[in-house]
Parts: sequence; C-alpha cells; structure tokens
Amino acid sequence: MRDGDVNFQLLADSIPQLAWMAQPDGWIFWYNKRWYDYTGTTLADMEGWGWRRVHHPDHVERVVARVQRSWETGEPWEDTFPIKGRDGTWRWFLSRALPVRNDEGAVIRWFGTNTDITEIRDAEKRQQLLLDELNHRVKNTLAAVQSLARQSARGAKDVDSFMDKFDSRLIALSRAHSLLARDVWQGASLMEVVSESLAPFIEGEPSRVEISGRQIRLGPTAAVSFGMALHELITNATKYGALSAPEGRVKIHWSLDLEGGSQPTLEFVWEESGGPKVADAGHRGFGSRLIEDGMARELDGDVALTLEESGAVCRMRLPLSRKVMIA
Amino acid sequence: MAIDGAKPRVLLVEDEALVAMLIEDQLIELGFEVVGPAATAGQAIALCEDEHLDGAVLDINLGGGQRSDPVAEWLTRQGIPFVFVTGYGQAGVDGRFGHAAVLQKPFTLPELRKVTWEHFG
Repeated sequence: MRDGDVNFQLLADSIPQLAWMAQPDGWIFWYNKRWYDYTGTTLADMEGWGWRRVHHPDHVERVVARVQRSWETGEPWEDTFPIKGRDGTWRWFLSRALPVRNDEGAVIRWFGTNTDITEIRDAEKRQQLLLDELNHRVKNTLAAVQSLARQSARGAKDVDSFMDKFDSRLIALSRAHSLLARDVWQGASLMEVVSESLAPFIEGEPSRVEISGRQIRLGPTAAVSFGMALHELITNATKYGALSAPEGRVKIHWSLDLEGGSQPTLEFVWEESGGPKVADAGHRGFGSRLIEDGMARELDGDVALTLEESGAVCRMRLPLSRKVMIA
Repeated sequence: MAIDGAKPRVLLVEDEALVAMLIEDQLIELGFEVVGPAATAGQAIALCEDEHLDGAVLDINLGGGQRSDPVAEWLTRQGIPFVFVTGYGQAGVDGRFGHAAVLQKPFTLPELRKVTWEHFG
C-alpha cells in the first residue's frame, strides 16, 4: 500500500462520522470502518444500492428520491434520517455528499458522510417539551394570581387591606416558584418548601418553629399548593395563633405510614401550642378553603384543620403519588 | 337543561387548588351549581355517576401526566356538553374532542359566561 492510501485509510477510519464513496451514478463502492462497525454489515451487503436495507421504511423512499436527484444534477446532497445499527436500534444521522470533479468539471466520484445527531435531536425534543410545559405553567400561574386577587378582595374592607393580603400571597406564590425554578420546574423537596415558606416569618427566632420529617419530593403543583397553605397557616399563627404570644410554638412534622391502608401515605402535621385561646372565626376564609378543600382534592387525601385547646392543628393524610413521592 | 327551574349543575375538573377555587367562584357567580371541583379523572367520574349534570368545565392537563380525556369521553357518551379550559390553547386538545369549545387561561368572567351559556346555560 502506498503512504497516501495508508494515510487516507487512517483518516477515514478515525473521523467520528460514517463515510462512503460512490461512482458518478451513485453506485457506492467503499465505506469506512465505522460504517461497518455501526451497521454490522459487509461491503458485499452494502455495495451499490444495498444501503437501503439499513434505512427506515418510513424514510427510505424520500431518501432515495432526493439522493437520486443529486446523482443526476451533480448538486450537493443533504438529508436527515434514521439508520439501523447492528443491535437493531435506530439512530438519527445528518447525511451529506459532495461531488468530486475532474479538470473538465465532470463528476468523477461522490464523497459522503453520515453524522450521528441522535443526542442533539433528543436534546431539542427535551427542550421543546420543557418550553411547552413552561408556557402551560405561565398561563396557569396567571390564573392562580387571578384567583389570589379574587380571594383577597373577598371580605377586604378597603383597597389597602386588599393590597396587604394580595401582596403577601403573591410573594408566597413567587417563593414557591423560586424553588421550582431551582429544579428546572420538575418539583421541590417538602423540607425546602416548609423551611422557605416559613423563613420570612420566623427570622430572629427560628427556635419557635420545629421542623422534622424525612425526604419527600413534591411535584410542581403540589409544591405550590403546600407553599400557599403554609403561608396561610403561618400568617394566621403570627396574627392570632401561637406565634402571636411570646411563649407560643409551632411543631411541623411528617412521616410515612406504610402499613395503614392499601397505599403508602404521607402524614403531615402542623401543631401550634402555647398561644392564646383562639375562637373559631365562624366563617371559612381563603386559608381553610385552600387547605381543607383544595389540597385534599388536589392530592386526593384527607385534610383536617381544627382549633384545639392548645392551638390550631392541621393534619393531612396524603397518599403517595406522582405529586407526592419518596425522594 | 336544568330541572324545575333549578340552577344548572356544572361539573368542574381542575387539579390546581388555587385555579379550581377561582373557576368555582366564577361559575357560582354566573348562576351555576358547581359539582366538584374534582382534581383527578377518577374523582370526576365518581361524581358524574352520582349526580345529575347539565354541563362540565374541564381542565385538560391534570398534573402528574394525567389528563381529563376519560371524563370528556364519559360525558360524550352521556350526551352531556362540556368546554375545556387550558393553559395550552387549542393545541392541547385531544383530536377526538377537536370541536369542543376551548377557553384559554386566564379568562374573564364575561368570557366564561359566553362559552358556558352557549353550551349549557
């Protein structure tokens, strides 16, 4: 073998693409090693038009028609299609061929490559899914803000008191979204949702709130609902409940009940103690409606909000699901 | 159609608690009696089977990969009219329900009034 041939063979076999050469009429007479390694074929299988056998039936007709046009016109060829690997799986390739011409300008051969773009395509698909999901989330979030405005307007005695309520709920919603954004909108951990929702209310005296529980992951909507529910609970505790008195405490704890019913269940408890005796407001506000009705339904569980001697208690029993998961 | 001049009964399916509260209030304000809201297709179908319905308002995507399509199918079989509310717009509607009315979130009370009264008021 001449040096030039050896060098060419080395080059052809070391590039990351599949490569091939064809006569001016498109008859393929050579492939690089990577082609054979990927497709698990031999030159005898693939020579001429044999390559059609590793093409996908949904694409092969179009591919043949377009490459045939290039053979006839001498125009560079480009197409994207799946090629079957030796293990039977399909990967996507961006394929190009350029004519090599002699001094008179006549095509003397074609040089072609197939570049594996499967991972790029997958990444593009993931990005599109994420964008669709984000668009959806934006619209739903606007509807949630509309809901907060409507709920805050109810029973507000004037514009100022409406704005106070609305602002603080909007900030709570925003805080829940910050957690989601941190995890590319896939969800958040219950521990993070609890500690971040309460943090602004217990600054300076964190010891008044005790938080404990195992690692639980919340889906995006469950994280938002938990964040909003906790905001209502802590607001009430600060204004009227345990945290309105110097000795008051809040204990938040959760655990898994793996034995009880047929389905593993998260048991989440909010317990206030040491606060002033709280009288039942007699009407159901936004908080109790969100917690007792909304969360119970959304997470398909049982939720009870009660005023006991010792203070407000909220108990939730939420079956594990794609919205409430073991981390 | 409602019986004996009673309020028309509308099933509401919406998984996000905050949004469900909003639409529930809006439907009540428009003179409907709300059945639900249900947050899952299972909850919704259980309600459907027990209650008389004049119509339904369905969120399409119920979170965790669940959709309200089984509810729409059930309602179609029963001949009960429904409208979709969604953040996705027309693109999110399953082909089987291509001619159902779609209201894009967020929407105003008059928009909801128009679409609900057109279909089951």
